[in-house]
Amino acid sequence: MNTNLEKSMNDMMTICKTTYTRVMRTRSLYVLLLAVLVLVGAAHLYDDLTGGRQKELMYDVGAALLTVVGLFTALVVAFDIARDLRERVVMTLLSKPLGRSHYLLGKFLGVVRIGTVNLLILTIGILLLLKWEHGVMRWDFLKLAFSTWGMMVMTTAVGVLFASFFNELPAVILTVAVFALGHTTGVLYHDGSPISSLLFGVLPNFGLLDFKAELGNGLPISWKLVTASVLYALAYCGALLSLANIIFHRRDIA
Amino acid sequence: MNAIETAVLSKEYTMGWRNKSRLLALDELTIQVNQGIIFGFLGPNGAGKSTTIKLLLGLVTPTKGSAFLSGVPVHDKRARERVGFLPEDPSFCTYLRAREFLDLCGKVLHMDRATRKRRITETLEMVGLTAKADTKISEFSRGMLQRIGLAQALLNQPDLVVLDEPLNGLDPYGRKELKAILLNQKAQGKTVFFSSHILSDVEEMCDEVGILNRGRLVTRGRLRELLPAKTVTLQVQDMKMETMTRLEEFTTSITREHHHWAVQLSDPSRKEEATAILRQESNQPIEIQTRAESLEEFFFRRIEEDNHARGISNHSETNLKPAVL
Repeated sequence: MNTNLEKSMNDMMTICKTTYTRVMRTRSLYVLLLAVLVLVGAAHLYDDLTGGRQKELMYDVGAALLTVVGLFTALVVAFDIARDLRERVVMTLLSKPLGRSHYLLGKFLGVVRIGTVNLLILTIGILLLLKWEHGVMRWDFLKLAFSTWGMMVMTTAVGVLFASFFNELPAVILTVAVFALGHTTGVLYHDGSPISSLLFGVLPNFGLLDFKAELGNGLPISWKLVTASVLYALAYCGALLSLANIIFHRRDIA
Repeated sequence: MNAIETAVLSKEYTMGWRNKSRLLALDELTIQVNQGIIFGFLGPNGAGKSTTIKLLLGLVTPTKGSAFLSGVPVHDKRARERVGFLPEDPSFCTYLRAREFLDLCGKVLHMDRATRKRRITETLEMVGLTAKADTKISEFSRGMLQRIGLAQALLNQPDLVVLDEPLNGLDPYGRKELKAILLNQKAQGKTVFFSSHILSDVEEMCDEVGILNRGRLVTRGRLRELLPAKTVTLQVQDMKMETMTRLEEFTTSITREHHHWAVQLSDPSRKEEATAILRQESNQPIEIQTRAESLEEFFFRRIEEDNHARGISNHSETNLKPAVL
């Protein structure tokens, strides 16, 4: 390991893998995934409940479940960083030649990796179920899953930002609050007041990544639009992580 | 090159709502620690020992001053490449097994796979945790946490080992083993810098000590130079008030102990003078006891002198002062 780049990559990937291991060793994630799979598995009941609109409801339920799993996974990062700080685990790690930015990015990547695996499992499950129930593979659902992945990545970055200067509880509450507000950002744009304009500029716009309505109503979604939305999400993440990095660098680890 | 070097290193914490209270944790610490020695960093609770260690490791940003480890500024992460650190009351990744945790540390220390494997086995053996290598850290006792903490600190055979209260939580066997490990580090030419409240152990191991009180360095130096003075105590059966008055200028204390008076001299070189005064007063036998001052006695004396000089009580722990608005 000679170059600084190699060392930096090694540091980030080490923290990423450790974060992944930590979460994979907690039971709560498996309980959540199991609950989700049970809900998806009970899909054949929807026909009785919806009076023939089973397919639309399955899309809606599938999309909602992806969002919920994405949110819960993203919250892990807020818990994880804040807990490392509270339990002073971070003191041991940062006393070694590990940069603070590498630590934060490693945590972020670790949670994104978990989220990706979770969303992938769920997407494959839903796709197979749709195929089983309707006999056709609905590849459009992949677009929705991809945009939800973008949403999960953005929420994870929000979690990293709050965890860089708050304890677990405020970090988690604020992340959920931003997630909720992020779905109403479009409304703020039309409001026109200075505060709304400010919030519109600062908050994430999850509306750009939300294709549930289009999918539920059988409207076409272009890959170009989905890719552009995910690129917006990644750019927003870059800005948030840079800010989190600046804050974390100034913070005393005591 | 010094292993550790600081210049007017200071840290003031702001606390409370609107940062109205300030705590001066460290006040212009200037110190150099040579390579290849064991340096004991002493002080009462709240003296600023842990803050100093955190400043040295770049965990806390100084309000003023600078610090260097082997000539590299502490804010540069390269300064920590050859440093091992054991924090006070250590807490590690409890979801990992001991071996996994050391592997994580080895990766962050940029050790290659083969070296990691070898050093993990060696350090686990060194701290007596070989049998617990595959036990989760969450199942470790306090003493075992201290041991795994020491193992991670020594994993990459660092040139400088910084330990914050390393003897806490260890039983007598553990303390004995730790002392042997630290002395072995010194024998290998490594520098050990540690804080401790257990002064007898510090006295036994350290080449040099620094005493911190309320954020200020009260004294520092080689133990041999700091504790050479012998305490001379003269014991007599009876003593008159006039004799006490005449002896006052030579003495630290005159106390009644059981069936005799004990006169402790402030300046051992004036022993003959004090003995002559006692002989003038009566012909009773005078017993002369000579003893070196222990580090504990030296520590209390210096702290109390410093408190007295600064006009503060010996008991309050912090330097809390209102903010200058």
